[in-house]
Amino acid sequence: MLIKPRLPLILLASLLLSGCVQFSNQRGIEVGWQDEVVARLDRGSSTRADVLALLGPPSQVIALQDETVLYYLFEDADGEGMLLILYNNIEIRTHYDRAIFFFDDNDVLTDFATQVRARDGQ
Amino acid sequence: MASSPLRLFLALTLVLLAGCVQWREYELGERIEEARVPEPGTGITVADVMAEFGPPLRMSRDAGGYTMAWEYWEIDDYRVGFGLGFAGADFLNIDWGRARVEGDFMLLGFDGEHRLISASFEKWNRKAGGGQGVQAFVSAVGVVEIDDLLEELSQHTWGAQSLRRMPTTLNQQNRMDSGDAGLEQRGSSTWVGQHSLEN
Repeated sequence: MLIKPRLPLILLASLLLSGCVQFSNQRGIEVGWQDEVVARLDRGSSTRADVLALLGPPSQVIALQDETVLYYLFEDADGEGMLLILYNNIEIRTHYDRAIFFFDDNDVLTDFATQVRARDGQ
Repeated sequence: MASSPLRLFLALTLVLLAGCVQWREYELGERIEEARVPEPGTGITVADVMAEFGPPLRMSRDAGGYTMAWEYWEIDDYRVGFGLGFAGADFLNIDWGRARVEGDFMLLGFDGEHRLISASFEKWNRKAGGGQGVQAFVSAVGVVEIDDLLEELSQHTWGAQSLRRMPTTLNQQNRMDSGDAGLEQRGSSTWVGQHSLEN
């Protein structure tokens, strides 16, 4: 007899009981230094050593014809999800913060660009 | 009193059907508008392009200069699965799944003087796979496969690329994640072209 009044509650709880998840995942080299880099580097005068001293080892080095490229990448994924008993929905967004630097055969900076997503507090 | 059997049936269905719906959405990178794709032969340089789009996500040298690519992916993965316990066959599971992808890909070529010499753009919205199946005891095989579309960019593994299994390492100079031999989109087949020597 006790089961009867509780059964609707159990059913309702089964349908409505939900869990929420939030998560993030980071890979690569943190690039929270955009302003500092842009301010300190000059095309035609800064060198590869200057960039390495500022940013450390890159994610990738590419040798072009008579140039060298240093590539810095920070992969930042975040998401949230709704976990019901019978239905789950998860959304994951991945952003790519990155910087690229071109050097001539004398290791002088010829071109560079950065793209960093604005974060809270920046 | 009349509704009690119905309630009991619903409760039993929830327990015995053991069903589940999963919907996963992945978004990689930022959208690219076709109207913003630069026109080759107009004096545009790599500095102009990077000021507009930021650094490329993929890059490689080629015969006369280098190639850069920017990409955006949106991947939807739907899966439905339930057991047949309610029908007395609790050792069987039924699975159904579908995946769709939507994306933009812009490929730009530059000469040795950093001038834009070629541009191409592709936009797609298509089915990316799916399937259905009846499996015994547990659903051991997934009916949707999208792991190759979710791989991290190759820049993260650049330093470790010479430590892969031998056929892959021997093919390093031809691989498209080295920055020396071209580039490829996510999900490209490894059974043709430069990867075929690795299989």
